[in-house]
Amino acid sequence: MTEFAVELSNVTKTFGTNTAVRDLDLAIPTGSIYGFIGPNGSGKTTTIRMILRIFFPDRGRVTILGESEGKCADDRVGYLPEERGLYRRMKVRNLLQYYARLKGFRDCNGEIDFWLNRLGAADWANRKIETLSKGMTQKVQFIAAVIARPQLLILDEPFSGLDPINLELLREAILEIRSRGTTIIFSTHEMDVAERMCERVFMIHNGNKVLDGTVREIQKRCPADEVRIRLSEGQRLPDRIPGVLSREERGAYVHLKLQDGSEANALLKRLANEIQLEHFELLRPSLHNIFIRMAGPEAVASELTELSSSSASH
Amino acid sequence: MQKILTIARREYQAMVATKAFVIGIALMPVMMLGGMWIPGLLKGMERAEDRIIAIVDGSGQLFESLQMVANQRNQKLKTVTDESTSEESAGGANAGDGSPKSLPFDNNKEEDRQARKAMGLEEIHRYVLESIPVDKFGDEQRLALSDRIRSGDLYAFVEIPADVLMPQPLDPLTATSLQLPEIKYVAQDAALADARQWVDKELNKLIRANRLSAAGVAPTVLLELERKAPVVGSGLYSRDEASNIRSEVNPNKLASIFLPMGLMMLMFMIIMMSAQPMLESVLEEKTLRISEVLLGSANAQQLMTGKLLGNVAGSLTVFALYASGSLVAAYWQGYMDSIPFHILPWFIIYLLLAVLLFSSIFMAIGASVSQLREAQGLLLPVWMVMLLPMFVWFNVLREPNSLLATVLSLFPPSTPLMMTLRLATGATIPAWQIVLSFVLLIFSTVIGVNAAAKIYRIGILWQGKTPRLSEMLMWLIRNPTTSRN
Repeated sequence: MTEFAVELSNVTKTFGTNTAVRDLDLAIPTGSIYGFIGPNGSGKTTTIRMILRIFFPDRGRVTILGESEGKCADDRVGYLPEERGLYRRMKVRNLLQYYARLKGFRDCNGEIDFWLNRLGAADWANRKIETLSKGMTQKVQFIAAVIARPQLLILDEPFSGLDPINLELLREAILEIRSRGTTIIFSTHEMDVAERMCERVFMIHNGNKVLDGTVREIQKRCPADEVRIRLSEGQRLPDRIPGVLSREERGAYVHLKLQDGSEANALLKRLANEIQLEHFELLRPSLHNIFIRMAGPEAVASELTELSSSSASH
Repeated sequence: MQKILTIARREYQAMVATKAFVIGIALMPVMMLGGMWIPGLLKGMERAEDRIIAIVDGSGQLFESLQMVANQRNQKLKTVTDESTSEESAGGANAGDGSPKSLPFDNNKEEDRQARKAMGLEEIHRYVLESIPVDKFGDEQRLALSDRIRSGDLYAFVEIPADVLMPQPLDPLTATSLQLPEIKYVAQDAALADARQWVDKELNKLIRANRLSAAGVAPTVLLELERKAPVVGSGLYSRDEASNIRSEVNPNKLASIFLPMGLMMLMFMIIMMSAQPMLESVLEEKTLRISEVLLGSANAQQLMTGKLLGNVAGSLTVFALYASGSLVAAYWQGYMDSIPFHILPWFIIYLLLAVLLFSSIFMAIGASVSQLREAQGLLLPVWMVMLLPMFVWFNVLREPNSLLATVLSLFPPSTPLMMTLRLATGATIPAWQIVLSFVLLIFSTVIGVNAAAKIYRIGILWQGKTPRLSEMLMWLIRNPTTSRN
């Protein structure tokens, strides 16, 4: 088994005059859960489609599971598209059989039963897709992606439309697949989900890679500059605290923004000397905040507009 | 290959194992032939009733004879089982019964009349005549009779002018009558009614007989004079195994019309039943993002090949169902001799090529649009081309080697239907035409399928704005996604 399940080196892909992905280098270690973050139109889907070999780069090299010359999709790659992707008029079992056979996995009934049971969906095996609720469809879609025991699994927004119970069910299933050694690419624009699920994240904006690393590394690169405190009853914050840029009360808590270069530790010492604290917490910047910082607020705004006018291939 | 077969299998199941397919199979012939049979069926359901026709006989000599003829006719109608159609049961082929104008029936041919009778196009109502005194007949009486018709008491009235039997002054130059006495038929549906035609025919027979006997010709002589020498169609002469020269089986007129048309219709139906689902299937895959999942497992070429393969298998299933159905029916009806087994191979070859060509075009259209509604505009020209042979089938039937037939046979999209039609007429089609049209068709099928595949490949990943036709054609030259597969 190769060290990296996916390796993109110096990959560029253009559509007409629009460069969807520019000089992208990306290496996804085998067995990891890798988050792809970025708004629609950022180049995320194009990157996924190149990994799936639906698109081919204009320049650069795409190596999937050690294979760089592949001309078509690899049977060892599973894919869950962002929405639907299921024949409405097929029965659940037939559909899963079809997708498994397309991947060359012919003796698939055991696997189908395993997953239907695992996700509490055994009763639906003979129901047509169109009769299922959104959450149920989502689960079937997930099974369709994993049915052929892929070595690389690409999940595009797998949690959308799931209630908390089913979300947890699916999260555990994903972790179980990972424990079997499957590499998972997890595409989402919900940063919280990425933060909870992924060891490493990759952020793309306007075709350029803006971030790539472990969640911790990224957070380190963006130092924490905010603390959250709660005072004991009857206590009051001094009017001026050295090293604090601004303050904001949020319920029982007060958020203090630190000046560049000022140490949270020093602040704690100073505050502890003067008043009684119940709570002092250094807030790591969320991926969302980091993304805004990296890509600029217009990136988030563009996410909203892109959602309404999604254009084909990027 | 395994993938292509997997895709083909699903496609075949999706096409064949649905209620819509079964219903379609059953309904299609009904819909196609319904236009011809339904008026007959409806007529068959009508109850025969007495239709009272008032006759104002100005000549004073025609009423009784006409009443006799009407009685004879009513007698015949009662004994419907009597196969011999009477001279009296008349009625225009195309009048008032909604039958297509193109039906090539000849009223005077016994065979045709049998056919019309079988199709229930004959008038079934009895005509009861009522004599109206001629004295002082004028507009008041006409109004009174009209009111009786309005109230439903009377069906029609006929005014025979007094001078109808008298010799008319002739134009000395042209020797034609200067003035023709007109018989008036008044009814609510005067123009289309069978009864008017019956009155027209029978009255004129009587008038002619009357004039002839006035001129001293005996009625028996008249019958002899009117006796016809029928012209009977026959096939070409050829030498059989025992080297006897023989004419081919006397071509049955019905078979020679319905067989070529039926075969063409059958092919058209199968093409339609195959191509239309392809559009829907591709559109579903595109809008539900199934194609992305599929492309994650197989490339576009495999996908299209598999789908076409399943589709062709589906169309052959339809053919097998209809063909065996027709065979059973033919055996039942004793028409086995009329089955043109010799054109079967051509039929299947043309069918397969047509299904491939049209299905791939429909696939390309399905891949390019994002809603069925948007497909209609693109489909229209395709439908027009597909239907072309259907517009001219009767002309081609009469002249299987006319210029029109030849040109349409060599126009690849209409080759399959046209050639099937022409071959089924039994006429000798020049071999070069068969070969050339076949080569052209193969050629354009290969080109068509490839072009469609190109558009399909781009279209299935194309979201958002529906491309214009010109844009789609540009895709053939340059792929906007520049994917290499």
